[in-house]
Amino acid sequence: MSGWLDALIQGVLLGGLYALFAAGLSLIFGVMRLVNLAHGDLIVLAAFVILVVGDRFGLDPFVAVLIAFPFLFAIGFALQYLLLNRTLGRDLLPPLLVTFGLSIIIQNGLLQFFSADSQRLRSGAIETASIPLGGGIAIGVVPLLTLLSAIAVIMLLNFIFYRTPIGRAFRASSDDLEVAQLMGIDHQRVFATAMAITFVVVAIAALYLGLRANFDPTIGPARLLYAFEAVIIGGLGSFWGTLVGGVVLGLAQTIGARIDPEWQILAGHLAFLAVLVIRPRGLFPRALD
Amino acid sequence: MMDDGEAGPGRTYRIETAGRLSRVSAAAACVILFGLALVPVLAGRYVVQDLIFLFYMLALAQCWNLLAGYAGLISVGQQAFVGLGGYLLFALTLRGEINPLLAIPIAGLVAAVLALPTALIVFRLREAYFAIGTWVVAEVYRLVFAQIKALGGGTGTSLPPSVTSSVPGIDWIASMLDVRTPAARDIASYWLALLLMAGTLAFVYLILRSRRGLALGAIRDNEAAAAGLAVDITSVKLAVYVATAAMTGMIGALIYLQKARISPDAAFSVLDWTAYVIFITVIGGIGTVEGPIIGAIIFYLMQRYLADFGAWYLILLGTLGILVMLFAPKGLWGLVAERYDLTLFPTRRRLVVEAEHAERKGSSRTLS
Amino acid sequence: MPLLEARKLTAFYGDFQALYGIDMTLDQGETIAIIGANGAGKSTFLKAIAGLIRGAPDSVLFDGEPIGALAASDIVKLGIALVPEGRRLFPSLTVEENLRIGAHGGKMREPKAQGQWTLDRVYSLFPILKERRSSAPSTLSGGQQQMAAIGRALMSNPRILLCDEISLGLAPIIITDIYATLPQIEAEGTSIVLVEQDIVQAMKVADRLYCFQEGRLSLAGRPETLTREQIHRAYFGS
Repeated sequence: MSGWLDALIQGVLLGGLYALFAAGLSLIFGVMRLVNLAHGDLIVLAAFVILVVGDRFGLDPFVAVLIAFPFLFAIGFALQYLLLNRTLGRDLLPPLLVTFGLSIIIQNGLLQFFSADSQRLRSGAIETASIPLGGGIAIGVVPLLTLLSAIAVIMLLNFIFYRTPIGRAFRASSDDLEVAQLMGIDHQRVFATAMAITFVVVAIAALYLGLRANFDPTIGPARLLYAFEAVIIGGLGSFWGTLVGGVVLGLAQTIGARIDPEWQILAGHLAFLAVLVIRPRGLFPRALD
Repeated sequence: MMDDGEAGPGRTYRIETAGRLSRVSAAAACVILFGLALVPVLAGRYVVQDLIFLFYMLALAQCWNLLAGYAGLISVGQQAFVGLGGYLLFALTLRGEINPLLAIPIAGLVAAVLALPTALIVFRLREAYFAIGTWVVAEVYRLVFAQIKALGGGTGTSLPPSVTSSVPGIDWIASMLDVRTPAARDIASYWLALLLMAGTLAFVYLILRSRRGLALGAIRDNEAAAAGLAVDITSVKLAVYVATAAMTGMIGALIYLQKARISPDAAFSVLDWTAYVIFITVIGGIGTVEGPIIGAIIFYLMQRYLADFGAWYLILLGTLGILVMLFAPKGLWGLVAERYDLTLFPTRRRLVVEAEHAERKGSSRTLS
Repeated sequence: MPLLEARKLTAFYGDFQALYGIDMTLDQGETIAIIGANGAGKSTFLKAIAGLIRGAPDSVLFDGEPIGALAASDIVKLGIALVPEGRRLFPSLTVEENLRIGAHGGKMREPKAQGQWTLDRVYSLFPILKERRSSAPSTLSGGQQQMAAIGRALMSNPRILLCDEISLGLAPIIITDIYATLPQIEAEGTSIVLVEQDIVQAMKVADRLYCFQEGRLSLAGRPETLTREQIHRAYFGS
């Protein structure tokens, strides 16, 4: 029995990681209806950036990520401003294919520079630290931090989206791009800002990805799928929904793994497909549109 | 290919899809096909193997082109049906002891049947989300086949020579062309691949020229307007999805008959069966029949001469794909066609207005 | 020098030409009205001025400066605001947020000597909006939505207010209310370009009248000098 309880707790904690993967995807979809097929690879890229920054300056990953923030913010802004903005329009194909190409470039670029070897972010004792809950169940400190960070990120994104001028510009651009321009909103910059913020979220996701498990250049696409599933399960346009979606996915995976370790990923995908069949618009679809 | 109709006195309109050039190119296509069929007689085994690869990549690209370029269904999960076809071939020949030649169409049929429930789920996702949804489904297929121990589970399995050599005609080829059995096997696969490639091309071309093809054109150009014209968009899309699943499944079965070794990771590879295929279609020109042909030849040459560069080669592919999408979204064929107003496989209909019956050719005006 | 001038302004939607060489001037403090049948190019003209359709730089002059090639987001910062046809409030913003976002571009501009439009002044112009400040725009009546759309445009402190069919779909009494606020807006030194299908309303407030027909200017003049006959012909063609 305690094995099942443990699976539930671990599932919720794993959901925190998936919510972090998904939050950035949710934001850029919410602002510019862009589906970024390179999102998972960007998370892996950010993990390598943290790794390199940490190694080069002998820093703990938690500090290295702070140094990586401004770089990733700038890269995200530039990527959107210089490349992805050119792909947005009525036609669906350009953004999909350009981000798909980007995914292949990032994966193979990382392979070229870092080889296919597994890497891990090292942060000393905290990696293995855990809080015993009694009954043989313990909560790892890193998984707990992951979930708390996910909640903090979702709160922050909600604050930005609903309480700040840039958030107002995000929502206005999403509602009606033409009229947004009439308000003096430079949508190219607004989109670039959204992508820059997404990159910061991606860096946080990458930190926990690298602390919790090994990573290598090829694992990006699977992270994209988890992120996507969390967004759809939660319902498009709701950040809290995305968090719930991540948790549902995490639960499905740990419960599946509990039945048979080989079923972990499959169980997650099947849960996603089940939600799609039962509630095509997700658990918490945005009331509008 | 004309629908004649009287429209007012002294004036005839006809809808034309085939121009004179295209009739020439149809004849040329037959000659080329015949020539390609003779290649194994003249060329060595490596050429045959290379061309098999070219043929099935082209066939896959035509399927994806029909799906994405015409029906607007941008799938990044077509590897689901390649892998399905491959695994079905293995299951049917290894477990069912069915002849591979028969197993290929059965694999296509089963792929089509499985495409229906798949469509039921992924069609709930719109636009870009459909793309990732198809990818998830392909992953589900991969993970499920990795669980089937009878087919080798996660590590996969091989076809014994007794199966690969059981394609009818191999002995005949071996004795006629005086080659050893493995080479004869390649030649049989070559003809099958050629047949399937030509069949896919003809299939796509005929679909596009049919009434349904017209509906597809309407969907591609403007979905809302197509709905207004009472075109049942969902059923047309579903038909295309299922038909391409069948074609893709058969191609997958043939690919793995030729490879004689299958594993879940290879058979459901997004890079091999979707990324390359998208690259071919986009580089050549999406939404045209000619584009993928050009794209497949370019891809084949790159694969042949640059694949040794490994990661750099793939970085180059990705970069080229992005550049073409940004600066020449209609692909290389699009550039050529625009410049010279050329169509080898005309699928657009042209309204030809004729002033008098008598002066047919002279006063024809093309309204496009 | 006129405040705003269109010179041989043309506009295209893809291959379709919607405007053919329109010439028009607007002076400081003036209100002009553009009338014409559906599809005559009136809205297209406003979009071209506002930068939603871009053309040759010197096809539009503002204070003598060429602005025809500028983006919409830059033009509003110069002081030209458009109230779009059909109000088009942002559905996921509250009424007050809709007003505030109107100031997004205006804040970039130097404060003018004349009164600045602030949230409070818009609320005093349209008191009902203050009551409904936290509501979603979809819960507002058509007239209230139109007031919010005008208020949103005013928040950028425009020197020229372009109004596209502000009476569309509204009850006559509401139209009268909304038109009654125009003099207050003009009193701030704002010039107004109205696009109207309601000719009677347009003639009442306009200093000068322009009529479009199939993308061309078919008539221009002061309302009092124009005959019914002339307007009828310019509107419907002969």
